[in-house]
Amino acid sequence: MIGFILRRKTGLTFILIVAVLLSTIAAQVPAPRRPSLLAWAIYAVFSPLQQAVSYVIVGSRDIWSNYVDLRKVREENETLREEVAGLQRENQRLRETIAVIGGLQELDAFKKIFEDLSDRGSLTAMVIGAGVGDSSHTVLLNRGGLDGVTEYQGVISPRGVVGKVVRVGPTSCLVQLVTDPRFAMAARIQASRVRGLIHGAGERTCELRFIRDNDQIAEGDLIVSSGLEGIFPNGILVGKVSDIRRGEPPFREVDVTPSVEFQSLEWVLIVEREPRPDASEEQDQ
Amino acid sequence: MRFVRYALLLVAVFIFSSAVRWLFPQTPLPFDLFLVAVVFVALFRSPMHAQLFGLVTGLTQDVFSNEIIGLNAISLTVLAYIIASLRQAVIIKGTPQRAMAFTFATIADAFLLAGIASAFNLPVVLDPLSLTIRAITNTAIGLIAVLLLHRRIEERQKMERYEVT
Repeated sequence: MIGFILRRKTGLTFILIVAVLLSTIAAQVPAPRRPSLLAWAIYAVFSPLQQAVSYVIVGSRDIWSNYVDLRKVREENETLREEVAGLQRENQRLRETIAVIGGLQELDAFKKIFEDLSDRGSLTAMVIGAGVGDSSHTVLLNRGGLDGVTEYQGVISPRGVVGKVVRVGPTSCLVQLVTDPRFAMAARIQASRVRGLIHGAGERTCELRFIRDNDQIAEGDLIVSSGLEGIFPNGILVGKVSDIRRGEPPFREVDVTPSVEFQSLEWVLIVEREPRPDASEEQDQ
Repeated sequence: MRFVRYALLLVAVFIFSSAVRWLFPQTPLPFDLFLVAVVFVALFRSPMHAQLFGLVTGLTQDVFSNEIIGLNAISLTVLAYIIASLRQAVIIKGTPQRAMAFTFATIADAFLLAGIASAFNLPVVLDPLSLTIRAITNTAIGLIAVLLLHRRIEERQKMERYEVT
């Protein structure tokens, strides 16, 4: 028996791995995904690497932009080159500092307004990288389970809805963007109050589904969250209607361009799912 | 030492893929370095090593790509096992067969993922044009890696066999 197992160990290991993986997939499909110990461990190993990659890329980008600025100044005036180059470098550094402070100030102001107007708390997070999947649109944030982040928390920016947390590691989390084909959220047309379902459509767009032929909608209409699914509070901007076509009766096909520019996204807010205790006290009073 | 090399290969592939995704977040990538790495290992190592490397690589890809955990892992494990077994049976030998292994693996990976996804009622994404482009790019990258490294790996394997005997 032991001899048979040893002779066939490669084949038996293969069958065992495939069986375990099939069971893992089957366990995840019907129920909502729970954070697994395996995912937690892999995040713990790879998150620091991801952070290092983001620092290297940002650093390289800064070096490159400084270099380009320096070349321009040299061409314009040879005699003032050193002085201008020094000023340019200083200017670049200050601009970067101002941009970072400006971005943070904007986010801080937005956080205050958001928490005053809604009953939810929020957590500031930085975008540290992108996921590796090709068909999925995801970004990594520098906040994780140790900061109290859980799956299915909404992520927003001052420009609007960014996505939702789908996986959580100890110090980072993976966010599914609104353009991801598996993303869905309850939304409505701001002007006519008609409700629908926002669905990611890949590339840079989303779709607004379940809009009937007789519903009031026009190109340029703003789409906001309706708060029905409990992940996002009511009234957060999602995007703008960019195209309306006839769909399968009685519905229309509505394309929505997200309000958030994902490529320049640096700072975001992770929205708490439960209302703040002080907010419910205020409501009681 | 061999396991350190596998780990370094996986880390390098992860860092490169993540960096490219960071630079081009919305564009579908015309290559899959995780798959190329697994096929590369399967072309030079035993089925046992190849399938374990496929398993770990697939799990890493799943965790960082918002896929159902196990989808890429099962696909890469199966492909690694098949390719390593074919190589052991001396069916894959020489550069043209190795090139075909990369092309076959890319196409088989797409169909395996689509098959498993449809079996579990998950959405299936299968675009023939992007699959063709990906197969060509993966084959080119894999072939370059094989041409650059196969002599060194074979020499090292001969040394290892010599040391064992």
